[in-house]
Parts: sequence; structure tokens; C-alpha cells
Amino acid sequence: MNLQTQKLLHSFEELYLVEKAAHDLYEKQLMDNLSAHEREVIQGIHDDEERHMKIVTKIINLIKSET
Amino acid sequence: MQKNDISKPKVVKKKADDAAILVLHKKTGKILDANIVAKRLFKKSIKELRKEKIRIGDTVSPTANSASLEIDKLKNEISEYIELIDLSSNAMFTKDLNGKITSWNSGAQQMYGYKRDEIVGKNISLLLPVDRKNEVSEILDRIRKNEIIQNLKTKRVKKDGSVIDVILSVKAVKDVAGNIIGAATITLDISQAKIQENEMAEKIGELEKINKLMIGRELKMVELKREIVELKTKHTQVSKASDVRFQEGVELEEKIVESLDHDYMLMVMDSTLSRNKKNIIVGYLEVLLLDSRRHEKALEDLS
Repeated sequence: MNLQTQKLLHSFEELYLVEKAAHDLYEKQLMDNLSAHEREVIQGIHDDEERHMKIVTKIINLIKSET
Repeated sequence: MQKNDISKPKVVKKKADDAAILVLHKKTGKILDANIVAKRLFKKSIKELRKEKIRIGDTVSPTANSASLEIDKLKNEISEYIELIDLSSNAMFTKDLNGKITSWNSGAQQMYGYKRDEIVGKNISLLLPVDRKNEVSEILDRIRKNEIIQNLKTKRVKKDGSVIDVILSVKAVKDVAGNIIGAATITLDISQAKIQENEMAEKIGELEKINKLMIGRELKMVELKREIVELKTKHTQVSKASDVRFQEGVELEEKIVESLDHDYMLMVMDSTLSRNKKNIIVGYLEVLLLDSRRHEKALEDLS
């Protein structure tokens, strides 16, 4: 794995961490006292973030498989 | 009125033509026409009186006719009083100590509906409601004790059977020797006043109800205002908390968008990945980018 690929991989790993941070934040917020509307919005974003984490993991695996 | 003031007059002046004699009444000091004096006091005409030697300053003594004159005077006074009583709009009547009605004025006729010849001789209990029949004996007992009954609020029955609210004043009637022989009653119909009083009380009751409702409503409004202030405060606090909470998410989404939009990432992929993998990854990145922008917008809306 060359340096550029490592940097690319590192960028996606960082992205994963941000997505996970966002996911954890929304998960925590869902335990708070939210209005029905707020809950609906946050739940939707939370589910998206869960999907995003899987996508980023796939991307990371794709990059890793290239090498 | 002068006819009652002419006992023991004094001749004070003769007119020049002697046509009239003026006399001074000692008690009242009024100067009276001798024509009146002559007729009422001496039962003589002025001509006859002039024949007698009456001089200025003479005191003229009433003749023997004066006794009958006094009786006439009393009779006149009594008839005037009777006329006065009869003309009165107040209901007045008398009764003996057994309750038998002995006199009845036109005011009583108007108030109760009975004509004089219909009621005189009948018992006063005719005018009392069934539940107040005892009042007759109670009133008469007090009259026998020479008590004066004033402003007694009670009820009476009219000829047509309707019951009216009245105020009574009753006083003993005495004979010449001072013995109580009956009672005189004055009745005032207060039915109309009573109706107005009841109407007034009803209106006051309604106003008090409205007042209570108004006060209740006012209190409710105060309570509502307090609740609104509390809710606003709570809302502000919640909004501030929401701002902070959702702001954190917005910042994370911004960070994600920033990472995905990096030209460097695309350039590196061009040089390191196969076209096929790059296309797959770019497709994924598009999804992530669109979602993250949508998240950012939704979170800002919540804030």
C-alpha cells in the first residue's frame, strides 16, 4: 500500500469516526426527552448514520482490497 | 274657619253708615264681619242687632243660643273630619272590640273592593288570609290594653280573593267617657313596593352571580397568564437546550460534508483505485453527501 493509498484510507477511517460520532450523538439524543417531531427527525438521521457507517466500512474494505 | 273663632267678640268699630259692625275676637285678635257674628252667635240679623245699643269697646256676651252653637260647631267639625277621612286615599275603617266593622271609607273600598254597605257589620276576619286569622284577636287584645299598633307588615285578602301586602296602623276608639269601644285602622297597600323590592333583590342576586363569574374568570385569566409565562420560560429553556444539542449534530454533519467534498480524495482515488472501484466509491460518497446535507438542514430546522 503506497503512501497515497494509506492517506486515502486514513481519510475514510477518519470519516468513519465522524459518522460514528454522529451516530452515537443521535443515539444519545434519542434517550432524551424529545418532542414527537424531534424524535422522528433524529431517529431518521440516526438510522442514516448507521447505514453510512456500513457504507464507509465497505469503502475502506474496497480500498484495502485494492492493495 | 272664622265661624269657629267667634266666642266672646268685642265691638271695636261701627262703620259710618252703620251698615256693618266689625268685631274683634279676643282670642285670635281677628276682626270679623258682624254679619257673621250676628247670624252665628246671636241668631239675629244685622238689622236686629243694630237696633240694640252696642257701643265701641263693649264686650258682647253670647246669648243662651251659644250652647247650641257650640254643638253645631262640634257637629261641623265632626262632619268635616268624616268628609276628610272619606276623601282620603288611604284605607281607613273602624271596628268594635268583637271585630265587627263599624265604618268604611272610600279608600278602603278602593283597596279591598268591598262597598261600604257590603262590609259594614261584617267581621274583620273576612279580610285576613286563612293562615293569619289569629291576628284579629291579637290586635284587639292589644287595643283593649290601649296599645297603639304602628306599621305592622302583614297580608290581607281583597274581595276578589287576591292577597296583598299591607302596612297597618291601629289605634283605639274611645267613647265620651274614655272607654275603649273599638279600633280605627289605616291600611297602606305595599304590594307594588313589595314586587319592586323582590325584583330588586332578584336583580341584585343576578348581579352578584355575574360578579362571582367575573371574579372567577378574572382569577382564571390570571392563572392562565401565569401558565403562559411559565410555558414561555420553559419553552425558551428547552429551545436553548435544543439549540446546543442539535447544534452539535449540525457541526458533525458539516464536518462529514467537508470531508466528502474534498477534491484531494477524488484525485487520490484516480491514481490508486481501479475505475470500477472508484465509480462504486464515488456513488457511495454521493449518497453520503446528499444525506449529510439533508441531515444538516433538518437539524438546523430543529434548532
